[in-house]
Amino acid sequence: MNNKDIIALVEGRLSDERKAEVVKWLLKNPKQQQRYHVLKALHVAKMLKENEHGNSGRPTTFAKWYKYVGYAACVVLMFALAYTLTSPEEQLVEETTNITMTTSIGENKTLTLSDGTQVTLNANTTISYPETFSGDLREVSLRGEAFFDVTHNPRKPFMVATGNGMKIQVLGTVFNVKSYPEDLNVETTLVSGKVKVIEEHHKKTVVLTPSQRATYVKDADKLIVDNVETKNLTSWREGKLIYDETPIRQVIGDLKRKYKVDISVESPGIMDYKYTGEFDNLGIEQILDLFEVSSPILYKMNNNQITLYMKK
Amino acid sequence: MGMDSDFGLMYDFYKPKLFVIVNAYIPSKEDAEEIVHDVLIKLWEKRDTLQIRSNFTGYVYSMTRNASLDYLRKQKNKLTKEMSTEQQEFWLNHGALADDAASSILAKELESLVDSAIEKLPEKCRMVFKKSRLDGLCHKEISEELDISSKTVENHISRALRQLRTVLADYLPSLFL
Repeated sequence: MNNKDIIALVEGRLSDERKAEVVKWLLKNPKQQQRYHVLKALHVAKMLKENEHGNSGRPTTFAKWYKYVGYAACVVLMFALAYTLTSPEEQLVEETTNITMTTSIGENKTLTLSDGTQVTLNANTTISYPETFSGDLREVSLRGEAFFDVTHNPRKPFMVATGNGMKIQVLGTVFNVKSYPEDLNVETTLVSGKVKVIEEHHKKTVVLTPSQRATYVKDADKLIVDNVETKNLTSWREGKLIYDETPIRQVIGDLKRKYKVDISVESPGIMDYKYTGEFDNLGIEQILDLFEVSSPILYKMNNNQITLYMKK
Repeated sequence: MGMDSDFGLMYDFYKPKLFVIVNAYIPSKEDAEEIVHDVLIKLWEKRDTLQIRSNFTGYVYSMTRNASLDYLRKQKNKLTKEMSTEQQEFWLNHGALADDAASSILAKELESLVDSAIEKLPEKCRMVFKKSRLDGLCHKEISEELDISSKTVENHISRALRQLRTVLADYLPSLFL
């Protein structure tokens, strides 16, 4: 038994008796079976194509055609076999060469992916993406915050996996994803275009229009959509932090990632305080001073240890 | 009426192609035809709730593949005293279709066939058709994007489907029309 038998089986040229033998032999030989899988698929693909190119009532030309296609198919087939049989694992590794990029506290970084998509990473963020996008999906995974300007390609959706219960799928748009494992929420904010946000647990999907934000509340397992000023949520790229009735808990999270400081809270009420204000490229001490003048929050600083407490 | 004929065109467009694939793995013509038929009906029924934002053909293919695998699984696991060659072939073909690498060869071929059929359409018509069937945009979205009326979008789409059908009507006419 050899390759010829497999091809004859695939092409349906075997007698019933011989066929029974070949089938039995294949079922006992996993390696040969693999070969059969590919040869069969190639043969069916060929039939599909012939079907399309028309075989209406000209048997002689068709026969020539068939032969010609047959030769071509043989060549393709040999390549395909070499591909599948020689080094399947190697191929797999090659296809999925992933690049991982990480920013530390206080660091931002902008990178360009193989499809031209621009990604700006906020502090303390890790992104991983394939060196080149193969297959029919452009998939990246993100831990932290990033601003995406995705190159439009409707045939190849762009997908951001957060591992935090939210997935984002787009064709080509500008949006911001904030998904730090230590935060209570995962947020996607759309600047322009269209994105689909998939809440993974319940498989709920929402489609955002520009200036909308989808927030997944991890504890409550809820997805909320609201309208926002996108500038406030994306200005971190210019070093600005803008807050509009933002829970202080989130402000503290941002500060911890932007500055190498440890922040603790003395009065528990502080966490629910909603802060409004803008810090335009300020140092941490300037920010804390602003807290004191614009809110009832006071601070003590000891080296890099900051303690916040409420004005009595 | 509009919907019914739209369905008819979609059906005629995909059915012969899918049948060739399914019938290669499932020798019974009737069963193969039934599988393809059910897939296309299901697809049509679900069209409003489905969010296929890209690669409609890929989706159609994987639905067909899953339905065929279901069928093969049932056939190969049937309890019989002695395994017939037929049943052994079900085993073999189930493995063959379940093999992702092999199966992707089929998916690619199908996509390229659909693409080349679409490339033969007049330009505007092609653009509208692609946006509708391949990007999954609805008529309203297309009319906004291309700045043409909704009615024109519909006309382009049915024209595209009609033309694709006549292209395909030449093949295996006895089986599919």
